[in-house]
Amino acid sequence: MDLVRYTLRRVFLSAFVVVGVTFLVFVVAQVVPSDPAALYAGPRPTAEQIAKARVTLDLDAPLPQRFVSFATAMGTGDFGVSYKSRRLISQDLRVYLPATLELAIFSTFLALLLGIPAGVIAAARRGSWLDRIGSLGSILSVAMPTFFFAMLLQLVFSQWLGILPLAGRLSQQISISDPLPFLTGFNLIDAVTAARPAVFLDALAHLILPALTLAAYPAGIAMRLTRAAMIEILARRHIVAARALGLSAPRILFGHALPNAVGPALTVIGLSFAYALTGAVLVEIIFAWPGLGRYVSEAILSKDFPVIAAATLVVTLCYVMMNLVIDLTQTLVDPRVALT
Amino acid sequence: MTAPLVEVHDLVVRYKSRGLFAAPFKPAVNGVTLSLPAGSTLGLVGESGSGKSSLLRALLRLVPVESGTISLGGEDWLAIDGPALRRARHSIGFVAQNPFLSLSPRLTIAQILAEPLLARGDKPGAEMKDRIALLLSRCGLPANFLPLRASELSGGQAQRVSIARALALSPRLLVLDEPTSALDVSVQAQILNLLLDLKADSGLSMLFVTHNLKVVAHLAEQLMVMRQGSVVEVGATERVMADPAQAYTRELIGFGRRR
Repeated sequence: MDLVRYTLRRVFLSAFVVVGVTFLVFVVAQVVPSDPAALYAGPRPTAEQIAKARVTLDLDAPLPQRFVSFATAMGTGDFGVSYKSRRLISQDLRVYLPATLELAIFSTFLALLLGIPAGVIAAARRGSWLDRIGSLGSILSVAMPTFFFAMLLQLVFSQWLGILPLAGRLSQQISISDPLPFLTGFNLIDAVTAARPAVFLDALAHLILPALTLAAYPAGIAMRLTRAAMIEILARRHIVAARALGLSAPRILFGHALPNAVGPALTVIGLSFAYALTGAVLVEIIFAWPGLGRYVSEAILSKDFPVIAAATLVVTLCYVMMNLVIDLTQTLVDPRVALT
Repeated sequence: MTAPLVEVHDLVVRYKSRGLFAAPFKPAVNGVTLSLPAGSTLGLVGESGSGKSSLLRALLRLVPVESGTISLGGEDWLAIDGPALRRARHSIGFVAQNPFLSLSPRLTIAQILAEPLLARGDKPGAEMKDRIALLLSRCGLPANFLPLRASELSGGQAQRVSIARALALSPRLLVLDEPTSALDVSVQAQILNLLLDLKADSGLSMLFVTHNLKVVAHLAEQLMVMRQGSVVEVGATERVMADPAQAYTRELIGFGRRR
């Protein structure tokens, strides 16, 4: 019952955040020092073209009416047309968003898989060489600039060892001669749906290096947080009592200590998901990843406001959903979260 | 004379000092020798820092021993290691001072009581549920406490759960680290009576650490007084209480009476 109430409360708060961001995006659109009609009318527009654009974009309507139209359009997924490319934004997002989401979700899983177990091992073997190597690795992963780490990974795994591809989402022979049918835009899922295991492996191989680059920072932070929390929790009396009663080391570490320690690390990884959605422009450029980051950064440079608004809302929605998943995961790991 | 269940000889426990140039710590337990016959209770008393909890932790193999020997049921307790030590620990039940700190806050009472049974390799199921309910009722709590968490219990109820957990694997020895000091006086008496009943029913051996002589006089046949890691006085409880040989013991008894 507590869990149901907690879930409903979180869903309500998430919906509130999405509505709030929609309002904020609309307000920002009204106060930015540029004329949307002039931008829409194209390069060097005449006064007539601008006036026509004002009518097309319905810019003379009262603000509340425009907000309702804006919110309704956003709610139905009608994001309008890009000022720059004149393409439908929803079509662009269908291509770019899955690429970014696939990368962000995979890197989040990598951060979880690397950071949390490393923190647990470092805490369980405090002071040992494993702890020292883990601590050094976490500091390096946090301190090293993203572009440098990306290039280092490319150099080692692609140039020297030749075991992983340098860039792109799929090998050229697949994307040109035998392309994957577009179903969801997530190459891993589309390859499974099309029953093409070789393409699945190729997509996975292309995903590893950019995802590892994106996962490095949150994994490093998660490792440090998990280690610190585990050390504190392993000294607690109920853990000492569990040891005295003869419980096994894995049961004590993963059954008793980790569920109490994993909360802060999960929060950090959830927050880093938002960064991976739009902040990973450098990673997308270095790995030639056709994602949302590059799309949005180009829109910002050309003041393509409908694209910026649409991307902001879609990213907010993804971020809110990811946080909801993280919060609900925390309640499953530690039921007391739902009680507070 | 019953054969001793626990025999400790010349035990030294010293904590590691941190830092390259830090002076080594004095031993927390310094050459302690004791013998606990099967079915009897030894009360271990002393002020804070006297080494009684360190001795207990060494007995539980929670801290390393510098020198000396411990035998449990005739076996060299310090020679056991790894998975064998984990299994051997099932023969010792442990009750800590503060039940709210020693019971996992995440788990329900049923899960807490199931933990030692699962650690022994028992299969979850109806039989285990019955066993858990029986353990709880043996410690004076009804089965409707099973779905609750420790935070929903009173201090006395939580300590009863702690005792039930310690008894789950039918240990030969029950080690109690100041089990009543976090409880108010009326609840203390209830817990002591419960321990007396358990002792009478199952002939448990107990090692009872406390700084309260009145508590230990209620329960223990033998009394050992510790100070600064060493044994000051040891003997039958009645004799030590009536005619203490050492000034420090007289001071402790006098302090208890003034309170």
